[in-house]
Amino acid sequence: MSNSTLLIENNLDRLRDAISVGFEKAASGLSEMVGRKIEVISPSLRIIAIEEMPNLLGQADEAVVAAYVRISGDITGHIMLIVSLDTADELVEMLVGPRAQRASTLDAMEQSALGEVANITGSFFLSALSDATSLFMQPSPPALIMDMIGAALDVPLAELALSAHDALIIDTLFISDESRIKGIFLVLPDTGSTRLFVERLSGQDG
Amino acid sequence: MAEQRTVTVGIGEVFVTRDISLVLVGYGLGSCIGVAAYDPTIKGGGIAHIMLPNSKEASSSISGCRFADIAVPTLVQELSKLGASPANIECKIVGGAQMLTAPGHEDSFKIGQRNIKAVREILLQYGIVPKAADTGGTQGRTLRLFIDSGRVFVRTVGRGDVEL
Repeated sequence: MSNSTLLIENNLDRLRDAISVGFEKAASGLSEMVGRKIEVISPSLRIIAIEEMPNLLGQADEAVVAAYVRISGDITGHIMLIVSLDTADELVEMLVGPRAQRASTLDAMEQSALGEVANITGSFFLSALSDATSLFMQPSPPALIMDMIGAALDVPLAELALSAHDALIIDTLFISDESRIKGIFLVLPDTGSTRLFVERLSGQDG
Repeated sequence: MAEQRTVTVGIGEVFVTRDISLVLVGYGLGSCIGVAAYDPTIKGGGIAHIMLPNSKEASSSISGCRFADIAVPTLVQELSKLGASPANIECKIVGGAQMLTAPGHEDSFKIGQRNIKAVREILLQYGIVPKAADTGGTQGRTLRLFIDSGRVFVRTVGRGDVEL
């Protein structure tokens, strides 16, 4: 087990608390945006081999809409908001009004609306973590990927795989009782960043 | 016809077999590359599911079949152990797409393209030129190799399975 892994495991509760606050903030930001109550279900933190990650999220060739946000600043990493095609349809209708027909493709405005969902949730999440650690974190503009879940995950995983065997995977489900909104909010910090982040949370400075 | 069973070949895995009841599948290849290799003379084949081109670019402790320079030789060697010879191995390569196309997000690492190039170069060291390829572009793909026949199928979202 690497030193980083040990450090994370020893501080898992602190990390979980900080992450949970971040997810709550992200969900309330999303609630405000779509005008429905969105809740966060069972956030989980795991350190697993990069090779295992696609298996965690169901069949790797299921078609999804994934919004990708890169994290830059003191902490670097990746955020992905992954929703089913049905949920993407629901979100689009909440944000831009009823659609003439459900389509397998989204027009530019619909794509930008979904990108904005990732932008809002990502920004709220990162600002809560910044508050907890005094570390600077900034989200990139969102990029939308409409494709197989495994193919979308290649984007962060290929980068992580260059420098680590394992990675910290932080994920939660967003759900809404009133409609079929269900999404996975996935956070993958780069290896060095996880260490720095945990050190700050545990009151050690390197 | 014998009942067929599916074996998933995950990221960073190489799987070879002569069991003709098996169908090997690499699901959801984005910038990843799937190499399907088949020797019809022994009815044996395998898939490598590769994530990155070169282990020498990685941190020193990171290695294994997530890299083309390790996975492709492993695939050829494992097939040879089953009795295949590189002269008879037919390869088809699938994947290497660019998944990020939004402005400001263009893939600065060009992982997909570099994966394609690396796989072709390493195969050539064994005298193997891919018989067919469905690579590049911006769509994810699922690769299937039928061990009984050596036939290869590629699925994309909205298009279904197409033989390669």
